[in-house]
Amino acid sequence: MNDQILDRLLSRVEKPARYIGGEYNMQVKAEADLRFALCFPDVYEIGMSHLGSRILYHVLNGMEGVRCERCFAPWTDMEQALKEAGEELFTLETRAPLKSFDIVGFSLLYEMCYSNILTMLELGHIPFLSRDRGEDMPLIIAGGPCAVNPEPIAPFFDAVVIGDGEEAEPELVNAYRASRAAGETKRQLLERLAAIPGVYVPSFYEAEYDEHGFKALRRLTDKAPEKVTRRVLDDLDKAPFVGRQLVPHMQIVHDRVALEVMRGCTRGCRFCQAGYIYRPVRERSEKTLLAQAEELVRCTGYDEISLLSLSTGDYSHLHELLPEVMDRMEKKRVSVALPSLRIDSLLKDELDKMQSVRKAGLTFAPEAGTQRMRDVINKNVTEEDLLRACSDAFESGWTGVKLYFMIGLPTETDEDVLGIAELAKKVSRLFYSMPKEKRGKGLRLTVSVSTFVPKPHTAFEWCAQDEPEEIRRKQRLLVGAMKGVRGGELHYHPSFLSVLEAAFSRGDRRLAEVLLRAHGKGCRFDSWSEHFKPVAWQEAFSECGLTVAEYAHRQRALTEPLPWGHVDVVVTEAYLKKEYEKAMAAQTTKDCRQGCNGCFGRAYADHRCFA
Amino acid sequence: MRIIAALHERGRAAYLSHLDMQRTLQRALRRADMPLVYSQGFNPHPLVAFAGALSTGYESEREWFDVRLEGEIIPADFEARLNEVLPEGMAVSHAMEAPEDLGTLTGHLAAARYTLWVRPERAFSAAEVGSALDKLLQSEELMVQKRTKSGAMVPQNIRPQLYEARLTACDGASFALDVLGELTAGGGLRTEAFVNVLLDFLGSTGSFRCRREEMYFDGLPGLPSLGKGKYE
Repeated sequence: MNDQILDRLLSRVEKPARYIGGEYNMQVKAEADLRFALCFPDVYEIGMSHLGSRILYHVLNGMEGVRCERCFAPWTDMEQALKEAGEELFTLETRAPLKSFDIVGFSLLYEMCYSNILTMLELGHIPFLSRDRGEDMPLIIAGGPCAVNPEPIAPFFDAVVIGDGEEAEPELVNAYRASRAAGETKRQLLERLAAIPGVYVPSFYEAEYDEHGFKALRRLTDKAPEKVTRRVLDDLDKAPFVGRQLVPHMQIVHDRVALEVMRGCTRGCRFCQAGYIYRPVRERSEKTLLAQAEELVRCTGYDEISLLSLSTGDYSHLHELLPEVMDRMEKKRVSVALPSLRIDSLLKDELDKMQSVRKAGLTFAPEAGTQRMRDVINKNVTEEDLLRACSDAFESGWTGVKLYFMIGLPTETDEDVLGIAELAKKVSRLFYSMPKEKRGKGLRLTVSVSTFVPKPHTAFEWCAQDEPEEIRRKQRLLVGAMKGVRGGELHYHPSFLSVLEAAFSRGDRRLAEVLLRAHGKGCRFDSWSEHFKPVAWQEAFSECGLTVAEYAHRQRALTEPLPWGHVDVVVTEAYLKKEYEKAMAAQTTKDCRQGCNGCFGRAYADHRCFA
Repeated sequence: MRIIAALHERGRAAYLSHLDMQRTLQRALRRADMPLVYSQGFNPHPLVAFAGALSTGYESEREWFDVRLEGEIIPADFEARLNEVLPEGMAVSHAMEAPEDLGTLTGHLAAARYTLWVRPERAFSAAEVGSALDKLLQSEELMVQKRTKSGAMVPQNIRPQLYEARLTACDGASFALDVLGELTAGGGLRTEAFVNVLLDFLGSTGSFRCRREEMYFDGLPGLPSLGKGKYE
């Protein structure tokens, strides 16, 4: 695309900085025999905040002869401008059309971005369905956490990478090159890809249904494995990270250096998909992290660094790492952020110190209001843990605390829902019962309540989601109970979006047709309330002879075939069933750090994290 | 010490907002490991200030800015180190040490010179554009509609803010203007409004691109100025 056309497009959009590229540390390799377009199906500010895409950008550009460029979902104003000008969607690095790339790869972070994948393909003048794309089209692939149930989007992709991409993506790229050098057909290329561990080629399988719904996934060729096993990167400490991190011009959602301290989590919360699909826990060494922190701050100029993981408070050497990082960063006037802090982490000293650099809100996630409910979901924190953490925070001068909860959890009763308000009341009382000179002035207690979405490959993968009416009733119950909580503020959301999320996270291949129809009816950016079109989605389901309810609100039998059954995430189904049964009996499972719980079974016994 | 320098923004960098520019310059200063001075208080920020804000979509040859540093640095080194770590389309020049008691750039900002490339819907000859410009410059009043903060439209006379305007090129499809206008902390000539008045006068509509060529200051020795009394 030339400058003049780009100028014309940019003059028509609200935030032109989303589309210009040219950021500091952008990579544009001059010599490349293989070009990879790394696509993110949401806007720039969100896509650029995704650590996984940054890692892949670095890994792919680090391969000889490979040039990896970025492309994000254009906001609706740019979509319209492109369509009216008859222009194709382009990458930021060289403004080349998507169609001109060898491989186009999408990151799957959130089910409610799926409609944007179709928008991007459409604007790239690329046919939606794998079977409609000939030899002249790029290889269209995907990866990311949602790939653990690839079925709702399976017909769109030639191949899907399941699990860690650091090693799998280069293997896929090399297989592509070998295939091209040998002058092979697309079919032959796909056979090569299917032989790579962790790579799923949807067209080699066919789904069967009966009157109850999904029945089986039949393998069409012995070139493809019966089960696709998730890729697991063995040594995170030696793995490549983000290299010279790109520095966006415009403000993005996570506008800071993100340092991945560890991957995986040992806590075993039963609702948490990430907790299962990133096992085993792998940590980076303190030495590596300190070196990466210094280098990333130096080459970006950021004044904030975040120590990222699913539960940073659990990092084995946190009490050695944190003071050292904070000390070194303070000298450079860089503040250190600790997201995902567990309530039961003992961090009083660290909190005091962080307060001296910069004051931000503290966030805790008790997830449920009563101990019984927390035992069901295996969130092994107690009311005492929460009150102690809040008390520490208040004494250190914090006045803003955010508490995250879910409603609609399996076995939930009204008592559990009301328990959320009870807990908030106790936190509020704790604050106001402290002597005025020991605490800040006014409390800002935000209670954020989301709707539980059952996810595949968790202990709750069989569970029904509450119907919208029931969720609304529980929300009203809470609104009433939260009145009179001094300093408290309740946040909750309309629930149809989480119903759709529930449908797509546990959907089968029939949902691809629903997606196509919804996209045709104008659905895009569904997670943005101003664009969400619930009626269009309902219509799309009914035109396909399906209902959202059968996907979202139906309790599945433990013996029922599941659409994602061919994906082996290394945690065994037998383990998940055991966890499900313990949940129903409100029995807890200990943290893996206190001894192995045996989630991998015999086949992957060598993957143990803490022997 | 205090350093004053000019930043240029060319090509794609024109599409950055003023806030983007501030962020980008601050991060570049940190990458260059400049010993920045920070403000006191709750959320300390480095003492870096642009003379004015540039509209999104405009290029600039000289956005003057002011930085406070701990210790001494040779202005030429400041320039070289910063230029190594600025993104594509941006570079600093004219770095100079400024006395501490020199006033703020913003407080002394007076005027700016622009190049405007106008692409009208239909073609005009150089003579047509030239005579239109003459007529506009001869009139006492150039009324435009201005949107206030509350969203209401109010009439505004932009003639007092327009100092000079000259046609520098015309190739039929488009023409270029050299325009000098007021620019102060409180406002100044809105080039967009001026282009619209001109196109209106020509009986056409169209699009335009803009580049700020220079900023002028009153009473800041060493910085560009228009000369005392010239446009008072």
